[in-house]
Amino acid sequence: MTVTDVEALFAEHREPLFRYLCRAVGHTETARDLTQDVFLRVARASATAPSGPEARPWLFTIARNLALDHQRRQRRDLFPPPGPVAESRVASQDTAAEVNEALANLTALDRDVFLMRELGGLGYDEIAKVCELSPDAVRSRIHRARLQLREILSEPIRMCQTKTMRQSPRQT
Amino acid sequence: MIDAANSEVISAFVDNEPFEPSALARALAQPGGRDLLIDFIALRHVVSADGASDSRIAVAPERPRWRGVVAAAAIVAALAGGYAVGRERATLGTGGTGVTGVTEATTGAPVMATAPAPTRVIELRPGVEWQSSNGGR
Repeated sequence: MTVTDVEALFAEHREPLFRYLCRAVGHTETARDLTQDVFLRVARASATAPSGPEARPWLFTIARNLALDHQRRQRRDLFPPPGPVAESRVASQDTAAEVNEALANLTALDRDVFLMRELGGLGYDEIAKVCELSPDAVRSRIHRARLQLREILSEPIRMCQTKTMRQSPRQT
Repeated sequence: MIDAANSEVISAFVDNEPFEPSALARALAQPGGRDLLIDFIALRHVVSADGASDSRIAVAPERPRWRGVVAAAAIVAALAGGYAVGRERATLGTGGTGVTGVTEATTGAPVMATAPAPTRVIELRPGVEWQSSNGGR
């Protein structure tokens, strides 16, 4: 893998990796640093880096491992149990906090699987490779996560339905 | 109400994964099936929005920059004021402003503005206590 290949991977996968890491670690700056770390590792391992359709699961495997390492280091600060929401927060922050708190209610594996699908855009087969599961198990876990989140986030979901939706929201 | 086992196909449909059309039709025909589909799509929107939030981390609010300027101005004003007061007191102490007699020191004790009378006078008589000579020793 050449430098150009690494740059191409960076251009193609940086955004979904960053979105996934944002929700996985719950902090923008940390997610940005971890995204950089992913590509530093890619550059170091460029000799053995897979290419083509294998590249994306490989990148997310690295990202997931980095996120897990980070969570182990900062376990006490991350995903604290749901508590009262500060009244001073504006609506968008409220929603973001609610989503993070809802995600904290999922098991770590269900959360990862769900986030890789929703924010990383990975298919069931790719997630299965990253998490060492069968595609059927991935399907079940994603569905279970959705059902749980549907219950917890019923209010934001109801509010969202008052606006126009797309099946796949535009990623910015 | 639709059960979890039969509703998995709705997740697969939302995720653009392979699914059996007949299974999807059955799932959507069940009570709550369509609501589940719409809720899953809405959930995707909710989770995708504000993904870069820092809601987990308690960030100290940024201090306005003008506070630093105000603090610096306050320090300068305090220094200038202190200098002016000190200067005025020093002037009062020497009687230069026409105030005669006693003035107050910082401790509040009276301070004499004029020199005290001598208690002992030493006289140097030329040729006795004091001799003049050319050059030094």
